[in-house]
Amino acid sequence: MATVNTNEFRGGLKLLIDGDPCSIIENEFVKPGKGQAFNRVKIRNLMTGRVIERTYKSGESVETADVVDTDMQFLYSDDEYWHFMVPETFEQIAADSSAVGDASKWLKGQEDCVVTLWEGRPISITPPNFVELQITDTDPGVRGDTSGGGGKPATLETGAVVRVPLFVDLGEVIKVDTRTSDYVSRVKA
Amino acid sequence: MLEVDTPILSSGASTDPMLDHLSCSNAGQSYYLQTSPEFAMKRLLAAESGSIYQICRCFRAGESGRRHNPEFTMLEWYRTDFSLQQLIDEMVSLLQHWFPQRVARYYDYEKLITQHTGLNYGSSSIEDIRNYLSGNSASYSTELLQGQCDDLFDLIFSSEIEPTLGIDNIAIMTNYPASQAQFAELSNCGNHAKRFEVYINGIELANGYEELADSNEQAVRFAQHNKQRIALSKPAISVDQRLLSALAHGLPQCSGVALGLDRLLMLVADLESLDQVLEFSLDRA
Repeated sequence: MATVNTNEFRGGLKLLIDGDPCSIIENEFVKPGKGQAFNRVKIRNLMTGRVIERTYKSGESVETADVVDTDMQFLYSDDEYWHFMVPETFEQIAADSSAVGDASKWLKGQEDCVVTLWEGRPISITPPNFVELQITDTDPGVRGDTSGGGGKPATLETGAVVRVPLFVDLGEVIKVDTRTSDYVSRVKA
Repeated sequence: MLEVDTPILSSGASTDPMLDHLSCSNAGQSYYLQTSPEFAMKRLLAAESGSIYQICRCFRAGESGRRHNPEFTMLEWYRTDFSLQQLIDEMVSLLQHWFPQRVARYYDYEKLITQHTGLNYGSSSIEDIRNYLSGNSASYSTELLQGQCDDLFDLIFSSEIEPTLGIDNIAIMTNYPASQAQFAELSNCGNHAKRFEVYINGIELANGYEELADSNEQAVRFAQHNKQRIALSKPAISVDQRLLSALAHGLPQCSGVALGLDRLLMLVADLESLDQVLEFSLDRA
């Protein structure tokens, strides 16, 4: 079992806490004038996404989690799994819906994603920051309305629903920011 | 008051079990870098310097963080014929120079612990304290919960209470239990230390004592500290015999306090971390 000393704590370090892999968000060293030093850390549980706080004695050893982020291309999904591949090695892995989570609504194929592996198993998928997808359903466009105000819902080819400006039409391809689900622009064919 | 300038290197050093020293060697002899100029200044006081102050660099190994840098600047001063209360008053008026809107608010260590936790310093059992800590959202590691009652109260104090102190005032913490006397005189009943600490915006800024003058008692505390250090697997510290001789010669009645200048600057400038006020913090030194 690999461990790390609290004085090596930093943002992004992966720890194994109560059996779950966690990532350090914030590490604060506290040394009162009187007593012993401790580290107060904010940690995100990578399985649940929940943020928790932990306090460790400074100098104590904490078990690390074998978590790595790997660049992989999304290939296709079947009924159960989403399949990804490392482009250089053609190595493939299959992620289930709990690992893919919300990322699935942006994936149609060939996107470059970040797959987070814990002991070799995928636990989360980060889609590209921007994706280009076709609108499969929305109210008819209002020509000439180029104002940013208002907007309407549009369903994309992957099933995701985003708000788009009124002038955007059915069948058009748009660019979307996956971190915020915000419409960015139309993509010229 | 006379400004003094004492050496940073010394052959003896503070035995405080919770402080780790940096050291270096010269011609085969090992020296400590001071964690505070306290002992050298007390030797001057015993040599009848009268009231003295200095601004100097101090060093504490392993203390790196938002509010810590292993090398930092201290303002330390001693007033002869000053009671602890007189020194507190002087400290408050100094701080009001930068924080004129703030008034001093006094807190009692043991009462504050009880108010915050419902536990009782001195009578609550170690199980009670552990139960309190385990049921807490801050979620302490099992290794932290191994300590004795005093360690655990201290953990509660520094982790939960300190951040709430001095938010819109100058918080003066007094009435520390005798076990936390360090180098302070005890009260007449012997249960409490004549010690105070100052907090602004949840940050510990200063620590003061009515100074212990009894060389025998000082030697006993050195020995106790070294015992605690060994129990914590830390190296024992060479006892400062020159300080003990100075105390035996006679320390005038005095009170002294150390104020972290970098932290003060950080608070005055309304900044969040020490590296914003240090030219080069350790990671860039």
